[in-house]
Amino acid sequence: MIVITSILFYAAIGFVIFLLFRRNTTLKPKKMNYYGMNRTKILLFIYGTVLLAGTILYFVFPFKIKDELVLNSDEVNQIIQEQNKVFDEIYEGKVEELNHLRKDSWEFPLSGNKLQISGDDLDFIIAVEKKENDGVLEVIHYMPRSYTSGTDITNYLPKPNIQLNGSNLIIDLQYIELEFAKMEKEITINQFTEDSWDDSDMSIGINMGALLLRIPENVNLNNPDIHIIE
Amino acid sequence: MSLTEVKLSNLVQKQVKYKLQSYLGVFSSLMATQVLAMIFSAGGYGSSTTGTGGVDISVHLYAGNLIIIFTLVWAFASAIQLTTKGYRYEDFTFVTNRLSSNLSNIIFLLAMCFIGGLTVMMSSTFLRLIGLFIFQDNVIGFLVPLDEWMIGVLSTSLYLFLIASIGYLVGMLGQIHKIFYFIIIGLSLFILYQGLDILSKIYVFFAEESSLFIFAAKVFSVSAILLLAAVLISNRLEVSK
Repeated sequence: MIVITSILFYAAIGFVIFLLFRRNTTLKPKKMNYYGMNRTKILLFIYGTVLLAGTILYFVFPFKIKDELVLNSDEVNQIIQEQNKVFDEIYEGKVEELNHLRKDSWEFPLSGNKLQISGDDLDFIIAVEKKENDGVLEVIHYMPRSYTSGTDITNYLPKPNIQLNGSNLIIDLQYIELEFAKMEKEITINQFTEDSWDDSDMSIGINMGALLLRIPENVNLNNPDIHIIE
Repeated sequence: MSLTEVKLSNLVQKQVKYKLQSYLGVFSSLMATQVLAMIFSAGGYGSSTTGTGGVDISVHLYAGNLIIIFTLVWAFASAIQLTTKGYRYEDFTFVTNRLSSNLSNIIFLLAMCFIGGLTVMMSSTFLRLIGLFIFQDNVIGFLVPLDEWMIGVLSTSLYLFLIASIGYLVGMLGQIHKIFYFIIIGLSLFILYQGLDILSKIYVFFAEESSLFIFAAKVFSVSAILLLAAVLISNRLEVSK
């Protein structure tokens, strides 16, 4: 129904524009130029030539396009499940289940037995796991796949900035702006090919992932709200 | 009374040739319509912007969908124009009758719609080129292969012909009496606001057909009925005017 409504909306705009630009097309003696062509014919000839040149260029020139990033609706559903699963798996300490995800890790030597976590935007699920007393703080970032407008954007998302300042672990997000052009097939092509129109194409599912902190057993965490894996 | 017998096929052929060469206004308005649609779509026919977790993402969608819709409007309006007095009287340049005039108009509509379909796909391709040059390395999606491009030309031409056939019938009705325009507009608004059920059924009948061959059969069958009705109306027009 959305498709019909939008087609009708654009058709109405198009009709109004057509009425505004409509020309009187009854035959009249036309002014000829030196070559025996009137202005309309010249314009049509230029238009046709430009379109033809563009079409030839499009099919001949090897343009780079990332077609592997386009997702179908099954893949989008798979990503949604993957995003939901990552929280459960980390909370339950089943991190081996997440090894297929994009993973970044950091290691910091830790002196003392206190740790404070801070950051300007902790938009992550953070869980802490205790390990043997080796004096090393391990931070692992698990990134499930993210998508927008039917496109896998996981590899464009930045990993967080993580620094250890004394006993203060600072976790910050990197702010980025991304701009893409997504080439789609026309509705009249989609109808007869396998990639049918899908409203879920416009849905968004961005997940900045989850952090797992592996801290030595003798280190005490000063953030009481952070989940500790038993 | 003439001693020379004019064959219908020759007459129609001459009229079609004449119309293709002289109805330049139809094609210049096609060009204006498509250029305008391309301008509207130059930054993408749609876009989505998302901001979450420190990431702002804008995706600009490139396809010739707006060009298709605008060209459908052009086909409808141009077909109506063909039924107007100015155009009908031009047929008297030839030895003519209603049948040859209508047949040449129908063949002209076919040719016009094919040119429309071809230029829709070519201008959509041009639009993609704009997107490819603007965004260069940040382009995702599909490059339409040549075989699918050809499918696009055919299917778009068929849609244009269907809409042009409706336009031709509406135009002929309007030639009987202008009140028919208001009746048709009123009827369309009634269908739109009282429930889109009929519209949905029509949409499903055509737009959810995945076989190009069956789709073509559907379009030609429905168009044949519409055009036949238009021809019958035009015969009545001859008597009344």
